[in-house]
Amino acid sequence: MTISAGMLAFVVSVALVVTIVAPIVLVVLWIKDVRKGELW
Amino acid sequence: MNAVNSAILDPAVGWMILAAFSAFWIWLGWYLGRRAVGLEGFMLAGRKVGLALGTATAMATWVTSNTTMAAPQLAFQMGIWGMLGYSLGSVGLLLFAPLAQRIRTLMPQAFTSGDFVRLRYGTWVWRIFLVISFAYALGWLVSLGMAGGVLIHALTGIEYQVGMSVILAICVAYTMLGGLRAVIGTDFVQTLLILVGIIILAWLAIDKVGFEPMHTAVLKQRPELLNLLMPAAIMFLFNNLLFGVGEIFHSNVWWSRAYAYREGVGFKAYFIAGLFWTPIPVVAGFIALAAPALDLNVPAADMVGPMVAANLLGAGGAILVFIIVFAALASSLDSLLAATSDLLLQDIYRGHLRPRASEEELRKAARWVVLGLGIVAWVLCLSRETTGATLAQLLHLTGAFVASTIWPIAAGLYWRRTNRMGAGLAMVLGTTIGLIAFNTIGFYVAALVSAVVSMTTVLITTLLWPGEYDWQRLNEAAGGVRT
Repeated sequence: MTISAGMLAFVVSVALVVTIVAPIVLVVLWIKDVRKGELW
Repeated sequence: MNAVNSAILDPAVGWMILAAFSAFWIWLGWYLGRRAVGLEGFMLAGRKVGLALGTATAMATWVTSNTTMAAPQLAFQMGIWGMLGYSLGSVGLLLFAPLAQRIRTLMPQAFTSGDFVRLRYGTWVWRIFLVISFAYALGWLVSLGMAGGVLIHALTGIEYQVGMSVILAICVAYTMLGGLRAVIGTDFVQTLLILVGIIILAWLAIDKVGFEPMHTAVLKQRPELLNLLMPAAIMFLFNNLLFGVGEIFHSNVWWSRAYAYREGVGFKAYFIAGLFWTPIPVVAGFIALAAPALDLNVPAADMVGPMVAANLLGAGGAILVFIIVFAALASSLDSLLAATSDLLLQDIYRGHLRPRASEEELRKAARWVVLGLGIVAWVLCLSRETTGATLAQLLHLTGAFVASTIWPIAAGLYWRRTNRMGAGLAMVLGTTIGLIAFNTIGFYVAALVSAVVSMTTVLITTLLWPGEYDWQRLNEAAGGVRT
């Protein structure tokens, strides 16, 4: 049972999108924490 | 093969990157650590770490050099399941999310994972747990130090002993200067560096090679990598899952963060970290599948990631890999140094040697413990005799130890009836039979067997000899007062 090129592209693309979102979310959370005075 | 001749980067460039990042991490550690007041400030960052830093530190610590270097290696050796199996390492973070919340609620004044085991199960189980914890922590610390030396040597040609010493010295320096505040603060920057780096590499692999040519070349040269029923990879998947859960459930690296987070942050931080960690081995790993399409002759599987990166981006790709690996190594090494030092300080120095030590004395001792631990790790890393296959075996061996703690920890946090005899027996029997399985069957079953034996022992002893633990005892005594 072999994975197809389309399926490989789908799995990697979903993983890549989540990984691209991660640093954005971290920076947004950081800004929110700083504004609320809850960074530390 | 002589790594100096085959190194991807010029040693001078390697030294420039090492020097620049070393100076930056130490400055940042010092800067962040200036406001660490008292013992709690140093060990637990004042117990007020917010969601952003809390999430980033959990992610960065779990992204080790293994994730960034071994993910491509596993994809190259085990194909699609190698990457996906590695991704299941995130299950440990996700499952620890509710535990972190409960730990913070039950023990708002505690310092270490040892505090919980001592108060929940008593002195002897605590000592068994400490043996397991230190065996694992030292194994991980030495493997990270060695990985640092080996990777720096392979990427730049800088001598193993020099590279290993530099990375250990940097992490010891900023952890000594700023304690957990320095560790968590640098982790945030390191997380962003790692994520941006692997995104660029993955993007380039897709853009310059493409999925279709990549798939065609792999299917032609290494069809087994695309096989969804590869047995070795499926076994690896389950063992890796349990190993990861055992590592996270017992290790003070994760408990100290649960204590350090601001109230209400623990669950969210570990859950978001788990979600965002899941795709990292896939994104970092799949670039290895580009090797056949690029017609690369890979001499050793662990160098496939840097080789593909250098082929796609030239020297820039190699520099990018070096920065990613350096950030991943530092973010795990500093966390392990801080958490293991806390365990030594709270559970050995205060717990066994000087129970009446003042906070001031402990605060001073904390820095020296970090330094001492760094020196011990450095001495153990000096010899390269144990690298390669032996080092990998050492890591798999610790799977038998850590998996035996999953049930005593989880049941101890939620079930009043789980008793000290059951917890102690579960750790001893799980570890022993896990080690026997390691020697008689193979590395891939050590964690699995240990977890099953430990689970069975906890369940049977809880049912047959139920205890009636009062949760209040955890809160009252957790500040280090012996009862």
